[in-house]
Amino acid sequence: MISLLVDAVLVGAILCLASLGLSLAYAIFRFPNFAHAEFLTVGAYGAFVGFTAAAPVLNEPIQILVGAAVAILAAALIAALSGRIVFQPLAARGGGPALIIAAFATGLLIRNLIVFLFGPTELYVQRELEIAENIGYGVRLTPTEIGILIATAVVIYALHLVMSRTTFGRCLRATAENPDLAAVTAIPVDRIRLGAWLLAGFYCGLSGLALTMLAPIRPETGYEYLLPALAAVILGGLGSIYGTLVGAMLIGLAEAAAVHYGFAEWRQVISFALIILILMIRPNGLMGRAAS
Amino acid sequence: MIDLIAYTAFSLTFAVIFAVAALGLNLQFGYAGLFNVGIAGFFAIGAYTSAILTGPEWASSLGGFGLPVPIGIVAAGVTSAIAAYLVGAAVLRLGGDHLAIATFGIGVSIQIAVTNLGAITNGPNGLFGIPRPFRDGSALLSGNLAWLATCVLVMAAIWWVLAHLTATPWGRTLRALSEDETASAGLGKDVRRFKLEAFTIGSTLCGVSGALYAHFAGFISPHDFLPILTFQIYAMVIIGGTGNNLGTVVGSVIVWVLWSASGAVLGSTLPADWQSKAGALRIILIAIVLLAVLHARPGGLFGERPPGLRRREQATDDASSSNPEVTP
Repeated sequence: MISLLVDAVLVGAILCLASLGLSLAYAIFRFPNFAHAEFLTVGAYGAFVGFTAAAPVLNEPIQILVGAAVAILAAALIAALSGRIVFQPLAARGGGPALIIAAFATGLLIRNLIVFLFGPTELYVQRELEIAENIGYGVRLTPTEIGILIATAVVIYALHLVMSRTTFGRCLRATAENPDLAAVTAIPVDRIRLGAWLLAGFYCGLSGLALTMLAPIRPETGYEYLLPALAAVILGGLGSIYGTLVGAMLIGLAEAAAVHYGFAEWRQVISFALIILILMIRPNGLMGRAAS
Repeated sequence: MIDLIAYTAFSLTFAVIFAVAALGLNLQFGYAGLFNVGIAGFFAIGAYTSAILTGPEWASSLGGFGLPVPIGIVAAGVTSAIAAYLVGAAVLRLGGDHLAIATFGIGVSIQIAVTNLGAITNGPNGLFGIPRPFRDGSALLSGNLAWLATCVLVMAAIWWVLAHLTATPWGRTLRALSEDETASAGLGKDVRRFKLEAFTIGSTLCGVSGALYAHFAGFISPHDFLPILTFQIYAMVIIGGTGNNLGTVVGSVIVWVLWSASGAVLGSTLPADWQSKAGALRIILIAIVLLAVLHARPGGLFGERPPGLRRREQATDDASSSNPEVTP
């Protein structure tokens, strides 16, 4: 039972990292970015490239840092480029279905670029075998898993601080709330939006790093997180950081339970069922404000 | 020469089969404004229904009914209609992007279901030996031409029915509610019923299209029904012209020709170990064309209005009037 809960927290932590960028983009640009999944994949491949390139000269902790840097750069770049070239011109024309279809197309474009560059097969980083340590109550975690849990807690709190304490965060929230009003109060809306894409990319890079450290990566790695991430965002409520955290933990619990009881293949269906349920009962999510 | 004609007929038949699904999507998305991102799922239900009802006895999954192919295709329409009615009753109250997320989830869930319900669908191995009328045991050329003619006839009949349906008050109401749902409801239209009907009819066509696909290809597996299929059918509708049946059919041919021609070119020019990358390049090509159309010509080649958005009986550029022209 306790090991199930620990699994749930671990799955939830990774999912939370994967969902924060989606939640941000959804709150500010008001569309579910189906290409977000591929931003995660770009982060994972960036981490792979950085980690592997640094292997001959550096030791593992520094390799991980290099991997993180490349992952964040790659994911932030791809998020900002997609936002600037594809999404913002369409959003300026009214958005709607065209924006979601464009996101779908952008996602496929990025995913197949990855297939073209890296091939369709699994890639994995060369690491020393880790030994799971007993941390009490029969719970065993590897150092990587402990690192992911700590890093997730840190970056969520950091995002909270950025959103509530910095000028950028306040401008971001103002732009999400009402872009026209934000623009007339001299907030540089375009730069704030670019910042939002970069921030979303930052979180995609981090979660890509986590995915690469835990398991082999494939061009579909991010795509498999799309439904769970959408579920976490909707469950938690749009634009709420802690809502996304709670949503991710609940989805993590559902998925860990599914794996525990032998329904691993049906994981995505469970996320989907939770999406439908929450949209029916409480469309603004558990911690969401009223949507406009 | 004969090979070329046979290949062209083969390729066009696929285009026409997908055009049937695209016409169904156009009714949902182009006319009624319903953003259904799960059409690959209804396509799969149709394909599996007809394959199981008409196919041979399989070693480890349901089968051996041996029904005639036309009955299988009609049954495919029925099962996908039932599925669409149940799904629609549950999710159609959601609007806009929530409906997109929900239907995307439905498409993915159906695909996962056919992958994992091995006793019915034979799981990831798929179903081989589905009856292929005109093609099993007859010459390549005559078989392909007979298929092309049959599919064109089926598509033409569906087009004719749709053209009449959308010209009736029912069709005008669909356009009205995609324009302004609240106003349509205010005029006494049962918005949910109209949406559910359009959703069911459109998804039925996707199911029929899936059944035709199964009988033309002779083999189906869960891999054929990934979200990329939904994307291709959206590309057909949007590139051709949303809300326009002629545009939808032309778009289907354009997308399919792009798809198969790029496959043929890449297949003959790239070295053998690059073939898996050739598939990726084809998807990139279609995605770029779709993005270019969305940016440069959002109404598509034959469309008058941006995709799935405001359409009126008369195409005017006046965006100020919010009253839909509803004819009783």
